[in-house]
Amino acid sequence: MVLAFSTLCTLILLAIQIVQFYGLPFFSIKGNLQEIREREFHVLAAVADSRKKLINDWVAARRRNANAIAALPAASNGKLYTDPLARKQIGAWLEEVRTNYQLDAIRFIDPKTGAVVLVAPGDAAPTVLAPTTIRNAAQPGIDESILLTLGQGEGTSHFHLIRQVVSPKSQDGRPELLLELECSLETLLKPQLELNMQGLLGKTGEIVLFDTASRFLTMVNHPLPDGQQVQPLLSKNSARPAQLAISGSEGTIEELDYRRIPVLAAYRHIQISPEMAWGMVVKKDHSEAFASLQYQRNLFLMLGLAGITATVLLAVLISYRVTHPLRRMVSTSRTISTGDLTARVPIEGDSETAELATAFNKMLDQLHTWHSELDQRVRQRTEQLEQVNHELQNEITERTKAEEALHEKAVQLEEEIGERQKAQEELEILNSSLEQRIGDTVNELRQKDDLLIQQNRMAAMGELLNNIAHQWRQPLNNIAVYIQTMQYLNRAGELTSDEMDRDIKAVMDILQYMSQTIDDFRGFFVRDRSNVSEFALGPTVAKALTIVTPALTATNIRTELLKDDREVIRVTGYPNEFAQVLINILYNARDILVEREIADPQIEIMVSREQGRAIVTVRDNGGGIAEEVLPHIFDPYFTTKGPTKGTGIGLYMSKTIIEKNMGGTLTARNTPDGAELRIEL
Amino acid sequence: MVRSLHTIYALLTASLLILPVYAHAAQPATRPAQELVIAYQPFASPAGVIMEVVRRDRLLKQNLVRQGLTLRMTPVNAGGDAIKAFKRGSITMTTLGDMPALELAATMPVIYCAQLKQNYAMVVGAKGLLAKDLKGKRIGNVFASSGHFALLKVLHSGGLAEKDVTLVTMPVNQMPEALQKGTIDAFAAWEPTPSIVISNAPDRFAAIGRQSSSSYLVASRTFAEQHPEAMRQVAAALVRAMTWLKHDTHLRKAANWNIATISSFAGTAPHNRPEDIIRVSANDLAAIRYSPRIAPLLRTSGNPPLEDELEFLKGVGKIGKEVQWELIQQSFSHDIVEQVIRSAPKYELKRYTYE
Repeated sequence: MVLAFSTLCTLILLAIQIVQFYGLPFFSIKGNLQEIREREFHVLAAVADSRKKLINDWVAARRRNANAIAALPAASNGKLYTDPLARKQIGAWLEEVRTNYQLDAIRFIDPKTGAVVLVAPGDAAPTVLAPTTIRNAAQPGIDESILLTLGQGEGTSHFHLIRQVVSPKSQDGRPELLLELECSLETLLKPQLELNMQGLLGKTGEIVLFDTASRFLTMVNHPLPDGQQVQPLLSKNSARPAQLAISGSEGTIEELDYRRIPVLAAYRHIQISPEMAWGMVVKKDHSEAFASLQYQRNLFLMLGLAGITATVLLAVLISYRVTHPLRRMVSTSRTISTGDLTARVPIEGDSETAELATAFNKMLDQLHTWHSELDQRVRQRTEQLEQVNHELQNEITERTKAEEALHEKAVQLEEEIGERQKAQEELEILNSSLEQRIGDTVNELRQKDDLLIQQNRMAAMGELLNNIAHQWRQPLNNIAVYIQTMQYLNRAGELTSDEMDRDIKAVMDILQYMSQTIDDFRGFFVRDRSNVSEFALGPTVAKALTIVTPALTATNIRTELLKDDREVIRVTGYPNEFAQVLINILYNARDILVEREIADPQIEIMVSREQGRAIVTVRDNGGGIAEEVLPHIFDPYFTTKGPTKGTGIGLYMSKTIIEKNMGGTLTARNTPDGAELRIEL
Repeated sequence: MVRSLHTIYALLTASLLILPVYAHAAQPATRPAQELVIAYQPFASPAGVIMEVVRRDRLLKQNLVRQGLTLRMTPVNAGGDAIKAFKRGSITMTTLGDMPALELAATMPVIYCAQLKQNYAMVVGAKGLLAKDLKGKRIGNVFASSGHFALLKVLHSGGLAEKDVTLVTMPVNQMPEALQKGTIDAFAAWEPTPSIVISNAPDRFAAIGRQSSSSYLVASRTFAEQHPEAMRQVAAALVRAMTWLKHDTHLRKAANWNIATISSFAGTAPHNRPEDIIRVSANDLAAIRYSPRIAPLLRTSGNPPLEDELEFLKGVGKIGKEVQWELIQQSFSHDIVEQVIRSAPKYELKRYTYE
């Protein structure tokens, strides 16, 4: 905790310190850096400009010296060649001038021979000017020449200003004499350049002069990077500021100087004459220029380190002090965590920490109370849990037993499954022979069908015979009456030939009728599947009704055929089989009416056309078909007449004929009075 | 009688003296005069004031007439305009700064017959601004001019290149106002504009860097070869003008002529005051010692300023890479001015006849 708190305090204090001690100084230093740089450049530029002017003025002064000397009449009128007294007087004057202006030498030179005519001082060395130089300087129109030479024996550069002395009487402009002023740059110019410069440029400030060939013109304060001392007019200055000045540029720059040391420099290009230019660099070491900033930076670093150390110590101290009550509470908490709820934090003083300790102790008291209550509740709960546990144990025991029973059942199920598997196997065996058995059964059923059909035929035949008998009974009675009448008349002798012919004819007509009856019946009961034909529905229905009428009349059943005589409804199929279907339906209706002893039994047959289909409905008033029976009446072998009366094949065959052979439908439904069977073709 | 004889003798003598002059003067009337057109830049110092004096040199005009030439002098805005006119053949001679003079010498046969200045082109900006501070700044410039070269040298000294700044091309006479209004941060130009801007607001503006710059009177080599005497007459006029300008009152008069020409040429009065022009021109004339002689230094090998400028022009594509320094060297003609100086009486170098 102390560590964490100390870190936090340290960070906060450091942040404040950084802002206060480094942020502001950073910008201050940055601003100072810029300010110092500008100030130094300003000073260097000002010095460079003033030194450039000084050099120009110095050269101008030399020109004025030369002009003044060259203006001597004795120089231009040739007396110096011929008049020793003039030479002496002018020599003394020249020496005075030379001394005043600190020149090394003043010479009058014969431009034709190069010989020195007059020199001051008298013991000065002869001119170092080469004959070529003298010839060039003596050319007409070349008023002035300036050149630099290496001083003999002293290793310094010498400035030579050569001026033509032309006679006013000269016709060709050729000079009478050449005036040469010689001075050492090292002793004459350099001290002037450096005068009072230390105060402006500091200890490392320096003014460096060089010509356009990069040659140093004066001595410098430091050796070159290779350790060699600078030799004027021999050593070269390859530093960038110098090269810029040589190239005609002027400005300020932060660069390396001839020593390869970083400096702030102002460089200038100085046109000494149309023929000669110099370069000048006024520079100051970077380290000196920014020394105050360096000190400032070091001071800030030292202060910063001290501040950081103090901050850390202060943070630790504050943290230790501030966290003391907290640490006491932590210690108490640890004691409590071992289970000792009687531990309490000592209350010291009356500060917030004391309030915190009091609150902490109250919290502990409360905690202790809660702990006791909780303990009590835990005990109670434990007892309850034990009870529940006991019950659960019993339940588990019961469940174990149930599981055992289930296990036994499972065993039994497994056995059953085994048996079922066995049965399945047997079933599979049976299935394998099922096809054979189905074939056998189908054959058997076919045989039964054939038998039923045969039975139906036999029943129909019985009906046929019954009908024939019924049809024939009256004709036979009539025949018997005719015969008995003939016999009586014959016996009475009253039988005439006419009467006998008439009676015989009547009998023959009756016989003819009876024969026709047989043909009719046979026609109905002979299958005509090979003859699909289009037939009129109304006559076919009427003919079928005619066949069954005797049977219906015998049971007092009234029939009524309803049909629209305006239209002949024709259908395609088997007319005889259709008639048989109708007969079956009518017989079934008769049987129901008879069985249920309906008081006024009626059968209504209606032939009609609905939506392009031929419709024949047979409706009775026999009370209808039981609802549970209705779905099964077309099933084969289904009958409600009992085994002695019905075969259960009539309606099945009728449905087969109508729906499979003729493409129609045969349906049944109950009406309010009875049942209705409906044929649609 | 004697008096009459003296009078007759005097008249005869005068006739003998005057007639040749009339004969010379009448000669051009009988044949069509060729026009010698000299272009000059009124915005340049000291060429502006020098050429104003030459323009008014009646003696020059008379002497040229004797050579079958009439003189016409025309002001141009900058060296680039003069080069275009020169290439069109509409001018024969022109004053040019070193950069355009090099460009012309590299592309046409010309001679540098006189030197008109040896001063500095400058990059001028807010006081305290250093070369390295120019990064990202807008700088007024005349492309491929002495100012442009100075700018590149200054940028180079600050570790920058041309791509680091935004060059704003504009005429040199608009630069001071643009700098004061802040539409540019600095400008690069030749004298007298930089010195005048600095001297007028020394607390606001200063030279960020300077570059040695020279200017010349350049003539068609063909013309110079066909009319050597006319060339010498022009050189003599230059010598006369520069000598005459040593006197302050003369310089003031020439400065006023210069301002009048600038006003007429630019359509507005210049920002430069006569005092500004006088001060800058005096310094510039002193730098060449009031003489149009071409400094031998300028035409020797290994001369950094001009050779550097030549390389610069090659670099910016103004001059073909194949142009050698020798070609430029051959364009300098030291002799014309020298011949005039050596024959001072003949060329009447101290006779000032300014209209």
